[in-house]
Amino acid sequence: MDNLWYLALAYGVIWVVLLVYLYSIARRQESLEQEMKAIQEALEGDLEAEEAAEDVEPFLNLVQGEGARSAGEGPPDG
Amino acid sequence: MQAIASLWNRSLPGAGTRLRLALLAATLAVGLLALYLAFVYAPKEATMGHVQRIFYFHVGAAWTSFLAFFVVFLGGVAYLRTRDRRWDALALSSAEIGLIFTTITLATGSIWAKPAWGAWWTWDPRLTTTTILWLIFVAYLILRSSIDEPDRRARFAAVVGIVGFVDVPIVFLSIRLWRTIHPVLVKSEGFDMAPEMVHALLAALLACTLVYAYLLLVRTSLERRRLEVEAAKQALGLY
Repeated sequence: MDNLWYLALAYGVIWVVLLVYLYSIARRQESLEQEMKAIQEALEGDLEAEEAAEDVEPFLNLVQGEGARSAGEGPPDG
Repeated sequence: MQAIASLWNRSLPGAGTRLRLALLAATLAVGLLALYLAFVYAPKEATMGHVQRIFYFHVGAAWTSFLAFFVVFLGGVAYLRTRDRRWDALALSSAEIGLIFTTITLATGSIWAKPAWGAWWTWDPRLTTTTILWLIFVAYLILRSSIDEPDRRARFAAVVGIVGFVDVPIVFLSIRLWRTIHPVLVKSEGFDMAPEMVHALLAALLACTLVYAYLLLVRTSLERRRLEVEAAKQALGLY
């Protein structure tokens, strides 16, 4: 009763099940890393926007201040 | 913003990678030894012939599934006591791996049954209770995927994991409690087999336990990463 085919099938099933599970873990890990990368990029984009806003702020204040002054100093209508 | 940056900086630790590599090396070494003992060292069984060699890893997988579901039970109890989501992550990881090993147990048992009993399947108490165990933990994973709120999901899963573990002793004792055609491995006098077969069995048990430990390490690391991504999304207001 040397059913070697059954023996090969049983050990084949063990390997396939374990390898498929490892592959599924690797896929999920990859997907999470991509998600985390997207979050990091979004975060870096926000930080750059904040820094750019901080850099521009004095000029904006200056321009807005001058604008307000020139509006105040302008010749009266009529 | 700082909270998100600190989450981002807390990537997978180097010590964890070293432990993982060491465990992988040990698993491969013991696994190869166990395969050698099962296929070469252990004698050919007189009645069943070579097909009996399925038994070593079939029993190893069954033992490992019991261990995995015991960890689910412990993780569930610890979560309900502490409400720490790391316990829930451990329980989920272990449940998934336990299900993989139960699948291997059922599949290899069925493949062995065909030449030994002449049928792929029979509603024997051991087979039936093992199938029920498999279904309980499939339900555990389905339940988890159907609840969105994390704390509620963890609480429900903990209860199902604890209650589900009750089936493990029933599976173990089924061949003693009911009339069965499933072989009884351990008798009151000890193992009912040749010493070389016992050595091969013990090596297979150790190899399966190491595979479980390695998979648990990898799977919990994945779950930790998922929690980090979830926390980062919440902090960014993406949820």
